Amino acid sequence: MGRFKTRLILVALVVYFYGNLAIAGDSTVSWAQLTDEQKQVLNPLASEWDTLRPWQREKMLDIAHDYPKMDAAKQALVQKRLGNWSRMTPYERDNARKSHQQFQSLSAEKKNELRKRWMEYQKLPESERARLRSESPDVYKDADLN
Amino acid sequence: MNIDDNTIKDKATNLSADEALAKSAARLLNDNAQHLSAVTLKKLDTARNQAVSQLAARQSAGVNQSGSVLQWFGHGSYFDQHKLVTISMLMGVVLITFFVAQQFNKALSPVVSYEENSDAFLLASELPPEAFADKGFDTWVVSKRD
Amino acid sequence: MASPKELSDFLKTVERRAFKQTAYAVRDDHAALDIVQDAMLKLAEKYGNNPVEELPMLFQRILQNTMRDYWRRQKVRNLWTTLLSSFGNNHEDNEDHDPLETIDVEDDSDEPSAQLERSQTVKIIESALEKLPARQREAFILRYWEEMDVAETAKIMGCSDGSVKTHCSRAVHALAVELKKQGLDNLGLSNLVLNNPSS
Repeated sequence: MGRFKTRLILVALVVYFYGNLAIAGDSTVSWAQLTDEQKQVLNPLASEWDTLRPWQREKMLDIAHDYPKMDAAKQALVQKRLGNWSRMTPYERDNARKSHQQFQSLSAEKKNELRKRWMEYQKLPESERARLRSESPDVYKDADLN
Repeated sequence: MNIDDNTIKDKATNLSADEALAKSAARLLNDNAQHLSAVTLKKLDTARNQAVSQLAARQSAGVNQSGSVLQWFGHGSYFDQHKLVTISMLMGVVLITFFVAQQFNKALSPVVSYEENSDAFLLASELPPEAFADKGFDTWVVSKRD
Repeated sequence: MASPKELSDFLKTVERRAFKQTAYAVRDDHAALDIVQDAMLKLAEKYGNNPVEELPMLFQRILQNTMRDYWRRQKVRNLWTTLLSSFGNNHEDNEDHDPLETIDVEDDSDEPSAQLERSQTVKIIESALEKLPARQREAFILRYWEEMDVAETAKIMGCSDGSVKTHCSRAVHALAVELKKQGLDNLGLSNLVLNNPSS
């Protein structure tokens, strides 16, 4: 095995491993460069993809990565909610993740109950919802999420 | 300042008078910026700590200290003679870094790649992401409990 | 390579004014917080290994870029309350804010009247600042508040040195006109600054 070949293989290995270190996860891939599968999943974001920061794109690509693992019903939900999700701020998304994690640990009945409560909550007038938000110790404002 | 002054005085003098005013204004703004609300200061605190701990984790994982590896290829004959040892050492370093980095990645972003905790599953859950992010809903549910 | 302690120290010195500067630009305190938080994370993520002297300029650049992304996405979201409209701002809409937000943490323990005068003056300056076109405001903040030199400012704003100087002189002139209209002059302002020696 020639010196050159050995070097080439080693470089390839190093590049492969370092390329996989997801900590520095950062995607500068443009919409046009996505695969067809990715474009299909991320379709709601097509018009704003190029305005997303690289690390935001990376998060969306993570979603596209998990998408095939889901059944059709879940996939439809992801598609429906993806636009809103991308427009939330990092702070809001982080809060959502924390809440969701707690939600996951609840029993099926509790989850169901919360779903009903969400329907009721949405019927409250916006002024009432705003008041409730301001009472939270962790205040933020996002009027257009409804 | 009356019109006569404007026509008689140097344009440069006018500019420096305006500049002095601008500088004073900037100083006042700067002083004023120190007086933020308790809530805001706490949030800035949290944000800063988050950024700093990410840096600390990244640096101890040694992610960004790559590059020097490829310099080895310059040292021709040395490399040839100790080829096997060098290759295995290299592989060892790369593999260790890779796994250590993965551990840090999991520690830093607990909700990234695990099945039910990823963003994709958040989007597909019983409640929309807005529900998880809405602090008013949170407050309301808690109040209903009591 | 910046150490975590160096990053922390740097952020501590810059975070409060970064928040205010952003708030003037996007006219929304909560968005401003998100943007600053974003910028801090990005700084750590992308430039954590740069020498600590480069951090101020890098942070400002990230901050400005993040603000621009915010505006672009606001356009996409079709919201009325964006910087593109020169009328109105979010302050009037925020009547239902958290009472905690009005508590001033650092008590000046100055005489009440001096403090009132200062805060009224500051409000006038803030409103004048918000009236400026975005580029002029950026140039003013970077040159006169952050005290960056022309070359650094040009790098952050992504324009030429000449443009920086133009934006600056227009900003200075516009601010001076507006402040004088509101009855402020340099003598008055410098007195206020002298009486409140902080940082």
